[in-house]
Amino acid sequence: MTNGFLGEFEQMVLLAIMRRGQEAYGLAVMDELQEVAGRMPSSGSLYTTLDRMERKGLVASTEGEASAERGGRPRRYLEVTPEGRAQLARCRTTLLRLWDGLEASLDRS
Amino acid sequence: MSAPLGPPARIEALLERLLGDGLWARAALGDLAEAYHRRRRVRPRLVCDLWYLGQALSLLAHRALGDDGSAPPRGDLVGDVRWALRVSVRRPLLSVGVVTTLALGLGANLAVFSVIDGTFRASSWWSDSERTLLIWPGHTFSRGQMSIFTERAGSFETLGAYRLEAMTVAAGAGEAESLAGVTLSPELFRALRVQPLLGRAFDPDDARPGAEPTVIVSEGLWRRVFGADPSVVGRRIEVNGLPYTVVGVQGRGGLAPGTQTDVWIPLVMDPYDADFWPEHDLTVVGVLREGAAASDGQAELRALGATLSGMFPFFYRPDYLQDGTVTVAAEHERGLVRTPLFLLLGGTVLLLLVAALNVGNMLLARSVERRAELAVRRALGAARGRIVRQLVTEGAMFAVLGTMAALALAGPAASALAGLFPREVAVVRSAWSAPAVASFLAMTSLGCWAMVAGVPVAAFLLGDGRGLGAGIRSRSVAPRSLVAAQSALATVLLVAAAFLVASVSNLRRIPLGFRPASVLAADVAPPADFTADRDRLRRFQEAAVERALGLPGVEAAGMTAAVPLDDLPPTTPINPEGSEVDVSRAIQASRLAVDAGFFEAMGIRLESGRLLGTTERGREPTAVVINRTLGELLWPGEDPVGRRIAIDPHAWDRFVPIVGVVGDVRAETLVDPPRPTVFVSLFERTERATTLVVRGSSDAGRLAPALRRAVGEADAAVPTGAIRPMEAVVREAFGAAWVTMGLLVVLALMATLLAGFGIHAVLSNHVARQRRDLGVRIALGADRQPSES
Repeated sequence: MTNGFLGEFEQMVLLAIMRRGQEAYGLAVMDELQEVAGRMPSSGSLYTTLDRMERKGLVASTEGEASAERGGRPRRYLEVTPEGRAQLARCRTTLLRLWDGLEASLDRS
Repeated sequence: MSAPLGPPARIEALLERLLGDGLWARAALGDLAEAYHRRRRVRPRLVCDLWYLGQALSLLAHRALGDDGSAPPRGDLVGDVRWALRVSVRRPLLSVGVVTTLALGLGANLAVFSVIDGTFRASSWWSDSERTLLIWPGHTFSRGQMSIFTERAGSFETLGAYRLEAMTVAAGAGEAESLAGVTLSPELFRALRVQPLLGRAFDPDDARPGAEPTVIVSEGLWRRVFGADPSVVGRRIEVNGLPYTVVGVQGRGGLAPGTQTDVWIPLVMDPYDADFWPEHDLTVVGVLREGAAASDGQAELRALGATLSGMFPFFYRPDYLQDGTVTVAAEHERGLVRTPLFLLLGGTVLLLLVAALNVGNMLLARSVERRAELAVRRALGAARGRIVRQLVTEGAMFAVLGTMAALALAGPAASALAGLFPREVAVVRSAWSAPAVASFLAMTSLGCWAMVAGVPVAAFLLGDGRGLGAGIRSRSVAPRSLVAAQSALATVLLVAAAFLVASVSNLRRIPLGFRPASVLAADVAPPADFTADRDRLRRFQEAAVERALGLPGVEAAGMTAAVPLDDLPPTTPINPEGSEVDVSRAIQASRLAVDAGFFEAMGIRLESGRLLGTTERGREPTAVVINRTLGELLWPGEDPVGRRIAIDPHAWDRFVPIVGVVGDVRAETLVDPPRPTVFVSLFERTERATTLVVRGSSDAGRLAPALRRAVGEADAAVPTGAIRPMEAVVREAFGAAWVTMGLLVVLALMATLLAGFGIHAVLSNHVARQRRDLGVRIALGADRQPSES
């Protein structure tokens, strides 16, 4: 992002990768998003986002093991880089600051 | 192990090729395969395949559109369109569903409308002129009547007549074949301003007695038989065994009826011809003089009736032609298809409404999912107007895609529709690129756009700024009313279709009086010189029936001069012996010339007495069979067998015994009551053009080639014309009702299906929205059986 803030989907993907830890690869990230956020992203948007974030240095990936049920293709394990963590933290701080004092107004609606 | 649970191989291979061999592409394909594998254990294969297809489309679309699904769009129109495309590929199945639904609704409307426009705008073969009249459609005249009418009718600029018949044509070295021909007055050619493709039209000299016989051939025949040879004009061909000189080639359209006519010959007005007065087989067409009204023509027709009954009280009753009417020719033809076509248009308009509501519903469902996206964009500072503009662009994109798909569908659909209507609808054609069709398309597409863009915009505006609760409430009311409207419209269509099904099945219940199943009717038209050689004609007719009976699988065979529901037999006055019937008030009955085998082959029931035998074959009728209606008219409540009637107006006191009574047959239409009919022996008359009727043991269709050979063996000079199953003849008699019913049923089913999808969408959305709610309640200890939600 030009102003240094992550997009909503980017944040969700980064967080999902962190939650899955050692087991974070494409399908696991999708599962995590589905389970926790109730949102099943389409493959197209997930992989283009991952690709973009890797190019921006927010995510790093390593090739894992292949299996028959994957048609012999290897998994690609993901890890959030220190730069990615720093940006997530910045977004969180900013949002929390923005939310400060507003929680009560949510309950009224 | 992986093979049975693996993703569809072809899609996977295609995806692999299109995505390339990048690291992420391989990882994505692997993840998809793994996810497919997991799904496949719990879901049916089709569901998984569809899911995989959706994911594949999404991958491809993102690759094609480039990166960044989450960046806000550029502010201009290009940006809006790109954003719209991106949003729609995010849910590929939904987008395909929206476009397909719109295409179906729009395409069906466009097809029906273009056929209607073509029918009521483009000229029929009668030319557009409101002055071209059919003189009492359905009634036939003799050449003698024509000559008097031409002499006396002052309000007509031109009077002409035609009759349709099978003609035997032999050209060059080719074998003789039986073709659809029209005999017509040269005046008709001129009156209808028909200009042949090659050569000239007929002129009045061609119709003078003793003139050199001339013929005009169709463009189709010219290409097929003459190899499109431009020097065909002036060549000689044989028509009905006599030499004719080709004077012209007639292009498609213009002159018919129908496009099937292959040869036209002039109607020769020879008062010394024996059939000049008695043969009533002409349909009369008149072109009114400038300033004359149709009512003048009608008055003259009635005056003709009075003249005729004054001249020939023996033949024509005093009220002859007094009920006669005249009709604008083109209008008469259109009248036959107006109701079915407008009924269909009504059906397709309802379908379009259902389709549009359905699309609205789908988009509404999506707008629930897009809540977060739109809210984020609002939070990031996008103006309401900006978002509305994007939603409208999105709607326009769907409308344009739907319209394009509809255009692709409508062309073939319109031709198919025009082709579905049976023979009377020679006038139905689709006219493309007509301004009316274009504006109809523009109107309906704009309507769809309003619907497709309007629903999400309304949902957004209602939800925006009023808190989540208001949004949800309004969203749950809107889809419900959409679905209610949809179901109501679908029900209307279903009810209309049900009514049509009921009335067609009522038609089907009408007793035909014959059994059409596994019966074939083959036209045989010996050349004209057979008329002079009665013995040869008779030998042929007998031999053809005999050889047909010898074919394997043939149960019965017979010969007739007219096929029920297909040909109109001539009529004759009936004089029952001993009742002193005033000739001018004699009952008119259809006179049908048949052989002994006809009744069994057609499945007509004998009610009393016997059928015509093989002995009735002299020069004069020696026995007749009548139908029940004639019997009841002549001797109510008594058995007519053994009584005698005279059927020849020239010999009013020559009585012939009635040997049998058969059941009534619907001979003209399905709805008209059966006409009184007298059956005479084919061999006691000279009927050249006849039909061989054959009842097969099972599949009559397979008999056709053998039947053709059998006729050829009976006499090599006689070609076989059209061979058609009697079931097809009956189906054709149902006319447009049958076609309309079928199409309306299809429309109703489509509408119901769409309404079903709509209901499904609303319910699944409802459940999806409530899932979290319900989960929280269960977690808080609520009973699993919900009391109110």
